[in-house]
Amino acid sequence: MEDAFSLTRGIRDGRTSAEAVVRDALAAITAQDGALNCFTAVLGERALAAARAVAADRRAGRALGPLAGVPFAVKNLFDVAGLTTLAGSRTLAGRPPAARDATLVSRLCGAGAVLVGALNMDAYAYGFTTENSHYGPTRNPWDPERIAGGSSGGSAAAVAAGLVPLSLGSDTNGSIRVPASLCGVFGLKPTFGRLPRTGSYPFVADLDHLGPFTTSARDLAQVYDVLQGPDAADPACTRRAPEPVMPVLDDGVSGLRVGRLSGYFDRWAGEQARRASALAAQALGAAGEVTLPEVERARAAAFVVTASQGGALRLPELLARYDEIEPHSRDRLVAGAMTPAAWLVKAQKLRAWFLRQALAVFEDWDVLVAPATPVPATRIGEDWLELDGQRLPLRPSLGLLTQPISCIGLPVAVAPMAGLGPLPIGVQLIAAPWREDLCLRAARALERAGVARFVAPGGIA
Amino acid sequence: MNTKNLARQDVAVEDVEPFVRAGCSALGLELDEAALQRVAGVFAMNARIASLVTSFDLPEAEDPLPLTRLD
Repeated sequence: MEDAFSLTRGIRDGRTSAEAVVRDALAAITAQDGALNCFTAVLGERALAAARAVAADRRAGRALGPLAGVPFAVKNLFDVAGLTTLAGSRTLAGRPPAARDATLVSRLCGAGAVLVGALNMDAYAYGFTTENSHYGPTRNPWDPERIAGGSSGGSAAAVAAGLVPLSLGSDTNGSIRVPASLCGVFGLKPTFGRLPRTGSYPFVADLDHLGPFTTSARDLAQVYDVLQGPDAADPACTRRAPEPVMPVLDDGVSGLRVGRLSGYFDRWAGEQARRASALAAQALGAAGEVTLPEVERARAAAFVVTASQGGALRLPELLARYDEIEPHSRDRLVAGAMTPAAWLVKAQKLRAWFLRQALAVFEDWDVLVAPATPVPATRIGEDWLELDGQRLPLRPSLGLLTQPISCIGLPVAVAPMAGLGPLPIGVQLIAAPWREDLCLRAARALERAGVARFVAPGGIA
Repeated sequence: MNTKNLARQDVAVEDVEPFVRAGCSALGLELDEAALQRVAGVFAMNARIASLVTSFDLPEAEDPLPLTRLD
């Protein structure tokens, strides 16, 4: 499937139609999703009606939106009118359907994009593998015996497999960046508070972010521009006016101070991840290596906040329906619910302190490069990971390199690095708060240099 | 019970088990013994990770509020 930019251009030019594009997407889902398990709901009627509306607008000469006719799908924690919002959990399946679309879904539809379905995820977004016991694992399009990453695994795998050119996911500790890296697609976790979360199922209010997956940096910027804007219904959402990136996307990185994160980010990176980071840094003209202080403690703070808030939020279900809760997260939720308050308060203080240290670093640097995951996709069912000579529990460790960054809300784009091995891996391009433009310019520069690019599964990653 | 003593690198499952039993009771969670042992195992891991937080000396004046907004 072409990227969103090309599809929309083809629809505008009359080389194809929105209906044909959406029918192709629905056919691809029918043909391939049985093997991948990305989708938990497919909205054929709604999608075709929306595609026909785009076609009618074009025939009538009405202005088409920037994403006119582009099929997209969303992690099933986004409200979709008429669907029950599952958040990956069987315990939520009996709730009534959502009355309206989530704010970000509405914004994409308002730009002409066509919603075709809802996507699989780790239960409650508490996981990095999308090995969902109730809805089945989502399989990596590069190797169906391997994980897609999580918790937005369906969102990344659906884009990588070419079922849709665009999807939405959420990222609390790495749930956009980890699956983007393991599936070889572009992803964006914007600044905390940049995009409204209204109509999405919460996990950890202090850390939850929403964002897109695409097959190109250009699409990522275009979609991000459509998604921006304040929303009074989400108290964490900024009141800043949108700051469009498309006008500056091709400005390149000349003049930007790029550094490569070392120390902790090298220690917990495997060989391919370190090569990816080094190659991206070199291509961006990095001037040196950068260390952040106390990164391991920042990651621990994210871990404590997640366990505590995530467990507390789920406590009513733990009390009422313990046996029905996802086994991969049930015990973690219970343990988290009894986190001493003193630990949580200290973790929040540590986050504030760590943010100040990071802001001081950004006085000298504009973009920081780091691997997105320690390793490429591991096998489904695997429990352990060998890193730095240590045997670590695999599921939480996939977020080792993402958690310290989202813990202080910094914006991050993930770019898939080309040609480093049989499986893809991505790099994080990190900037100061509200500087998504720099993350996306760096991703675009890597893409234009041919260093980062989306490759359809089956090619050389 | 002193929770600070649980947040340490060498904490063992048996060290946290009394706290986990009391915690489950306080929260109203009735778990069988196998589940309780699993939860104690997770809690011990959480406590080891939390020790990196609790052992760090922060400035006294550090803002205790969460980072709800960055603007």
